[in-house]
Amino acid sequence: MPLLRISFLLLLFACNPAEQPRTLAEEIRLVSGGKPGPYLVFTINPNDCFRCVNSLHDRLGRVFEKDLEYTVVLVLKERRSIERQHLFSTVLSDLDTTKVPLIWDDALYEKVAQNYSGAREQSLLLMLDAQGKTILCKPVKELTGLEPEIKNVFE
Amino acid sequence: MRILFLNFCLILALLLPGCSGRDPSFALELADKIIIDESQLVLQHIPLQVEMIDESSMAMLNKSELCLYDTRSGKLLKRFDNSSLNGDSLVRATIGVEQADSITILPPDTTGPEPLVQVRSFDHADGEYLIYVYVAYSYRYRSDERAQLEIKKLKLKLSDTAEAPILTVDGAAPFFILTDKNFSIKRIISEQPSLGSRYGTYKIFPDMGFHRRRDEIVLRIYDQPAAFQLPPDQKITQRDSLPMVGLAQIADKKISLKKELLNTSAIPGYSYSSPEYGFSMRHYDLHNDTLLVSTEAGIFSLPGGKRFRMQRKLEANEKPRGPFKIYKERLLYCAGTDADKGKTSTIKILDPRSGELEFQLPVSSSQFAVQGDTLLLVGRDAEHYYIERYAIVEN
Repeated sequence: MPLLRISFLLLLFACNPAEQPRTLAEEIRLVSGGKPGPYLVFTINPNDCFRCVNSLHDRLGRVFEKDLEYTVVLVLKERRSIERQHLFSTVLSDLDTTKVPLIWDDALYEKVAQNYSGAREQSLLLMLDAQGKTILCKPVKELTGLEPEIKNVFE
Repeated sequence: MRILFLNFCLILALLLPGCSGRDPSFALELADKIIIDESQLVLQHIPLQVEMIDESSMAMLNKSELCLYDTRSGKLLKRFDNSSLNGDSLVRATIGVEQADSITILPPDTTGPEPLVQVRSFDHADGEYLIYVYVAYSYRYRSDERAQLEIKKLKLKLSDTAEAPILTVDGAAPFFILTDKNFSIKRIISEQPSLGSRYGTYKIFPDMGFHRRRDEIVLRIYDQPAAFQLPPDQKITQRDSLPMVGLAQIADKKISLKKELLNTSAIPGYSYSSPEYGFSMRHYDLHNDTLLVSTEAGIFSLPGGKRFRMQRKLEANEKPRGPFKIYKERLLYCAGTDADKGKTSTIKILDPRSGELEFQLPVSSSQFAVQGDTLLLVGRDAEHYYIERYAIVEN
């Protein structure tokens, strides 16, 4: 009988292994509803400098105009409902949330920001290839559109 | 005789508390909490600067906009409407001839969500507002060579076969705008070329706040960018005497720096990396006709540059935030730690003569203003931004 109990516990343990922390690419895949890479991830800070916010709005507009090979994901920090509504009429205007995953998650925002060594409160563009490897991570305000990695995205 | 003795005892009893030499201590008592009405303007963070205008109105710098709120109702009374400013012509009138010849200023792009004229700081005095703004503009270089040079500066690697790139560069021109109490523009003031300094040229830095007295402005100055972003292992010595605070003067439509008022040589063993009395650098307090300014190295009186006497050093992990106020010889200020990431603060009342901390209260922000015996704090909770009114009471 004790042997049977131990066997049962071992089986239970085998079925519930300790959960490994997910990689950023795995999290992005999860929040985008399982869509495959490559990914184009924007972290959006509406309190970024005014140049940055305007530039971000412009870049997002260009991304949504195109039928890109990338899965686009937008990540924001959690906000009050009144602020969310306000953002949909400003920075996120014309956004079709049925097509583009919009994630309000402080932890994911921070995780994306860890890819960039500078100030974390800047709106960033993170590009991941199909294997989840980082190709580019740069503040949106520093994007000139001339970078080879993103030339086909914004031109 | 007995009556005389009783009278003597009564007089003694009345006089004793006054003769004891014990000062009263002060505390804050919450009197009121008003939710800020966001039907016209949605707030996205705690204001960068707040200032009491009169008994019932407070000016707040909300991200990039100057707004006036009724502190009793929380209603937005007025906004500094910068739509009447023609940013394009302002910029053209300001940039140097040499630069104007080498670039083409592009028509302003007003399609973005943020306005192109942004308020950075302000001061209210004599029924007028002096508002410091940035006007955004974009330009392209007229020559390909110059554009290529700029691309090199940006460290962009382009393929050899790439066509001559068209590079659009963003600029921002700073101005002061003087308005009346209703935000009607009276004068637009631009910056004149500045004085030479030991390390190059003085630069004024009104972004972090300033204090205006008639046509004079006290404000932060610097002459090398390293003054703001010094490597952690580098220590600035007294010998370097870097400028910190200067006096500028407005004459007609120009503002120019007149002299340095405070530099790092006033602070023995000064180090930017480990300030012991460190305060943020945007705040001024007029106390008994003496102007006090907070810097990352402490509080100083101007123009003499005498350090405000404090018996107690700040705690090792204590980070002062927001404004300060001298109230009946006490120092009112907010502080937090690096660990709280600015999300919570503690408002403190300190007697600088004894170093005794008389009162402390956790609050949700560090932006407050004091008027008379009342302290007003702009805070937030999960759903609202609010104005809390505290009575400063004697214990």
